[in-house]
Amino acid sequence: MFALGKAESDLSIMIESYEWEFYQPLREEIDYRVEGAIHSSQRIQEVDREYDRIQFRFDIALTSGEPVARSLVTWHYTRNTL
Amino acid sequence: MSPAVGDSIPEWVMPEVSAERMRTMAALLRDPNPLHWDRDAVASLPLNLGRRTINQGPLGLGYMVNMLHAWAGAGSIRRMVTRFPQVVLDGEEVIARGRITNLHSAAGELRADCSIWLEHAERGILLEGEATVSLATDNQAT
Repeated sequence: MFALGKAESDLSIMIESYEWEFYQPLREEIDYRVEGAIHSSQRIQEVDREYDRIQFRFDIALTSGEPVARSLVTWHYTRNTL
Repeated sequence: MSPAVGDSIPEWVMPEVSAERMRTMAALLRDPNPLHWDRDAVASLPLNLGRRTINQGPLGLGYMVNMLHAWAGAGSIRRMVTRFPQVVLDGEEVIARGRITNLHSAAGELRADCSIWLEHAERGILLEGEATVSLATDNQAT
């Protein structure tokens, strides 16, 4: 995710929010299939800073394909700030 | 449990956020951000945080999960949204709190929508969000 968003440094990631939805509990010793993609991205220009707001969506399923959970992660990638 | 809208969720207290646990978490996650383990890196930021490391977001979020699990059972969370208006710093005492905002039935179970937050005595609300939990009686078994 650092590379995908082209983070300028290890310091340049800020969290906006996490959203989780569980269709069933995750359990130890179970194999899961995880797929992810960029859900949205937006360049934000404020008076004192500029950043890219990127949302990643992850879908977790059993190997049979049965959905287990979904997550929407929203990070800010600071630009020319840190 | 006979819940009602407006009821408070029993609070969950983290008496001292641990810098050592942040270092361990950074290693487990392979998190390269030095703000979680290097006090000098935090002090160099223009944020006036002093020489204190910044807790990983999922750790602070986890305190609210602990509150919900202690209240409604380990398999009870159906949905959870967390926002991060302020950072959590090492050495701080923080308290997870929440309140029921709605009760409804879904998928054959009673569910509670809750407002949740993580609070610091001086700095106020550090994390905030909403959660939907199942109030089924068998959550403890999961």
